[in-house]
Amino acid sequence: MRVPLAWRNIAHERGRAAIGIAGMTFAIVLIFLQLGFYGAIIIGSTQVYDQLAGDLVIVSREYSFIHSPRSFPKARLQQALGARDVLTVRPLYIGATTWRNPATGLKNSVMLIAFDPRRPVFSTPSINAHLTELRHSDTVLVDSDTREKYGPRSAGDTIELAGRRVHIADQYRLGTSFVELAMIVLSDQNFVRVLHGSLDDVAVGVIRLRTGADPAAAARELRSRLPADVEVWTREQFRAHEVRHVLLLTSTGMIFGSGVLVAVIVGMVILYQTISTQIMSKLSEYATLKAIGYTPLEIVRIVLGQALFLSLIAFLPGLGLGLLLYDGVQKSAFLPMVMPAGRIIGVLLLVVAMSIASGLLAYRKVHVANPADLF
Amino acid sequence: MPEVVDVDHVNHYFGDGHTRKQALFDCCLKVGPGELIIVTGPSGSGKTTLLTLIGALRSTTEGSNRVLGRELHGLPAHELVLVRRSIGFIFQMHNLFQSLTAHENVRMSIDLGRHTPREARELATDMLTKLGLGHRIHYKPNQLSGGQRQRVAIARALVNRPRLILADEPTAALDKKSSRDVVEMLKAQTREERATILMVTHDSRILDVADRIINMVDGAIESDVVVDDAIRICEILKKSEIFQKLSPTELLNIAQKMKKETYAAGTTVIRQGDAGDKFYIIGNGTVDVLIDGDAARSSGKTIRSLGGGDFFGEKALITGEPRSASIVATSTLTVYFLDQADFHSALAASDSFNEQIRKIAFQR
Repeated sequence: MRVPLAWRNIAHERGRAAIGIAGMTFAIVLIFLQLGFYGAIIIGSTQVYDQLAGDLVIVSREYSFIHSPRSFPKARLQQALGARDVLTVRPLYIGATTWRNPATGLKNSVMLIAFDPRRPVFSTPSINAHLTELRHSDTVLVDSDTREKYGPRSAGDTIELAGRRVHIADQYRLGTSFVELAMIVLSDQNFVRVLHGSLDDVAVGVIRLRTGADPAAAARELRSRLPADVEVWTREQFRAHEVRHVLLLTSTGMIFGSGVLVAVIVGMVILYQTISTQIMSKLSEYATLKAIGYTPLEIVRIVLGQALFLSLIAFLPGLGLGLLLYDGVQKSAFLPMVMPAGRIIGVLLLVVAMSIASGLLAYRKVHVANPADLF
Repeated sequence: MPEVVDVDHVNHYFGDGHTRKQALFDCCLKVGPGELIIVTGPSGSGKTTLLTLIGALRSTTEGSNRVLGRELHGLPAHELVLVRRSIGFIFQMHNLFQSLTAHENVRMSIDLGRHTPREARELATDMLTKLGLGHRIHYKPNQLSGGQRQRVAIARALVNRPRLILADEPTAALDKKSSRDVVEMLKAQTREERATILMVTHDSRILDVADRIINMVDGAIESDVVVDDAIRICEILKKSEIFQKLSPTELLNIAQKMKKETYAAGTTVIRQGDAGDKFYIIGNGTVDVLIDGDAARSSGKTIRSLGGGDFFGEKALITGEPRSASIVATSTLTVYFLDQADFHSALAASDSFNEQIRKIAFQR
């Protein structure tokens, strides 16, 4: 093995190395956090639909996203039922209203999701366990992630929705999102009572196909069968639509995307500073390397080695702190912060790329080292 | 014998345009294997510039600069780097890697060659042990004294057995004892490895080890002198059979002690039966070797004639017996002689000389 000069240099100047590692750790934590938020947006945008028990959906041609679904006539569901392979077609209603906190008197917006309890559309056990109670008038289920500012929200509490007093049967677990901090599941009948709306205006039609049917083919057939005021999507298309909407058509994707970029730049600047300061302080040693016959490529390798050692050492605490923060955010902000293995590998590769880039930038300082000056 | 360094009409300039300043003026210098050259001169005289050109640390832009058989003029930077691998560099400031141990510092040089890790470790250990640092190989530079650091730097420069070593004020930061040690180590390298050393120094304490002293003034080589007349004797000695295998330093050691004598034709230089007290080398002229002659006149039997580069008188000095023959000059004769004491100390100092001369002496 060759003499590990890069490693020795780092181990020799622990103070300087520690500052570089701390800075890089900070940057890595920041990257993980931004990606965590980013991931939470994606998860949050689809977590309701992911729980639908169906193979295809019908939505309005003007469907935008879950918080702005537009509606289509209920008659389309009947028309869909005639298609081959279609087993059931069930309506899902989405609406929004206000929820008054009796303690503060403040009204906050709440998202309502409704269906016919005799024809359930979710596969969520904590919802399906209360189908009978949902059929009672003015009885609702509240998402367990609903924030504290809404006031009492436990089983047995009575709350006020759009001025109407309703009874909470229990909580269910599905998750809120960035947009809505409270969610309520209720029967279609109670939905109409609260919102004074019409059951003819459906937000999403949930279609179940016969076992073994091809969803793509069934969707094609439905599209040709139904009028142009509705769209038929497979689950995957529906999911992709929601994600694309929230990432591209709202600013959330850009906010956290640029957050990652800033963290990357911060990390690279810190790394560059650390390495280039080290090079300047050891200029005569770099000149000596040149004098005794080390080629530029070999010297680049030493400089890059230092950058890589610093950032790889920083990666472990960065990941550890990231996981801690994920847990904290999940608990305090009810955001679905998860750390997929792909993200860990991705950030690791990003960190390697950052090290190489800032190492190469810092290497330019080595040009100042002139072996002829040693004499 | 090819020259190790052959600098021919080299000029060098620093800066461009109006600020262009000539640093070297028509420098010529030839250095052979095993020579230790000291370069002196006031600061700014160009000696360092010359050394950096020879060391492939700068590009040669005017003139021919052949180092280790390679023309450096016009060589691109990436080739110059490779040339430097064959040269040992010793700097005024030792320039060790502060984060590495003595052993690792030496291995940084070894790593440039093709060695197994085991060989590399052994080479480094051997070299440091040879320089008296066997007990310090795992110390870092800041745990070593100035002299020890410079020895590590020398180990790093010598470990690849370079044929050319360039040293810049290697003793400037050292005390008298350490300087002497360092210089002796370098001198030993010229003897043992026939390495060529160019050393820039102002340290008058070490001038005595030089084969030649080059003095530079204002960018030109002002003088290039052999250490004393002894070198001229060396030139003659080199032509002689018994001295051929000696290194320049050994030759110089002997030559420095020799004295010159001139005899007219017909003069008896040695008389048979006398006590032996001198050893002679013929510089110029011829002699006859006679035995059993009349003590007054050279009327004995001529058994042999000798000429330039031949030598005589050694046998009586070795055996302690009286002269076994007479020597009479047959033309104007120049000889160089060693007296008995110097002869014996020369034998003691040089194994190769001792071996060579005994072999020849007892063949006759």
